[in-house]
Amino acid sequence: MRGQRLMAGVAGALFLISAAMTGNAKADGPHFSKASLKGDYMCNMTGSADDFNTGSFTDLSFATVESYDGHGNFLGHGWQVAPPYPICTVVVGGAVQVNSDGTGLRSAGYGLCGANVGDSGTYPQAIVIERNGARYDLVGLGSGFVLSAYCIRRDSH
Amino acid sequence: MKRTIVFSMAMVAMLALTSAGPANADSGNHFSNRSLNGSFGCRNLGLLFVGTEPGLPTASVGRQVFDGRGHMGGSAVGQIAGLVCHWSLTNGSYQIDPSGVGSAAFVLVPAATDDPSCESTPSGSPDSEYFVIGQEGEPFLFFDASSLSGNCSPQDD
Repeated sequence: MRGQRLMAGVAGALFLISAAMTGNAKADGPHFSKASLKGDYMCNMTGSADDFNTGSFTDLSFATVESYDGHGNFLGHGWQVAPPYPICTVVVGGAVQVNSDGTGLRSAGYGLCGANVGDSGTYPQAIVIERNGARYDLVGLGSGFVLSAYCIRRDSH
Repeated sequence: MKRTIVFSMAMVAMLALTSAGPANADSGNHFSNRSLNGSFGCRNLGLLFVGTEPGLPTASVGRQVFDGRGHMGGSAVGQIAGLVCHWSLTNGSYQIDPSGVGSAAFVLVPAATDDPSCESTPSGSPDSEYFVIGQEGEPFLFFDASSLSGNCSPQDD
């Protein structure tokens, strides 16, 4: 009887420790690296191209496929639209740095088209990774564009 | 002995329930502060209104951590009409009603290296967000006191 009580107590203690460890892991969150981003992602980026001096804002949207190699490099292409100009094709590529908490920075070179072809260049972007790498969100930090995007890995949904 | 085993099994079951996964909806879609537990990646986009001035194009991404007990915190980086800011979300609290409608209040503290325009005071200023929770672990929508809106997804799957 005594032994059984002791076993029950030990089992209870083990589960308490296990629950506490689970709670800590949850508070810390999962850990990420460049390897967290690998495969093809469908991205939708929306926002505006802005001239803050004149207060002129133009809606801008992108739909792209971006492929990551798991080592922090990506390449992509897709569509860009900035009404009233026609839809045209855009290319993007660059490198990403990932912190262990899933935040990071991306340097993205855009080959723009249509009315924005003159704005082609490299732009800094902040990212946050979700769902263990199956999704990430980003925001553009470059001047002249206020854009945010979400990207979902093709094999995840 | 039978009572000891039954008691141990009940304790194990209770511990298993209390250590269950993220964004737990209670049975019958009764939500509570326990419904948000873990780290989330978030994005938002919209116009930021300050006083009676015209809205400023704004976009951001961030990481928010909820403890399941009404406390939250995190970080965010974004652009407000060309101004790039990095914030910490401190002293955060949240509450969720049984239908899954909730709100959070926190203090936005700008990074010391940011432009002073990033915040009204160096020690930060109170801010809030309002959200609706989806299914277990699903994204939720949020709005801050301006017309920004977006969504969050759990960082783990």
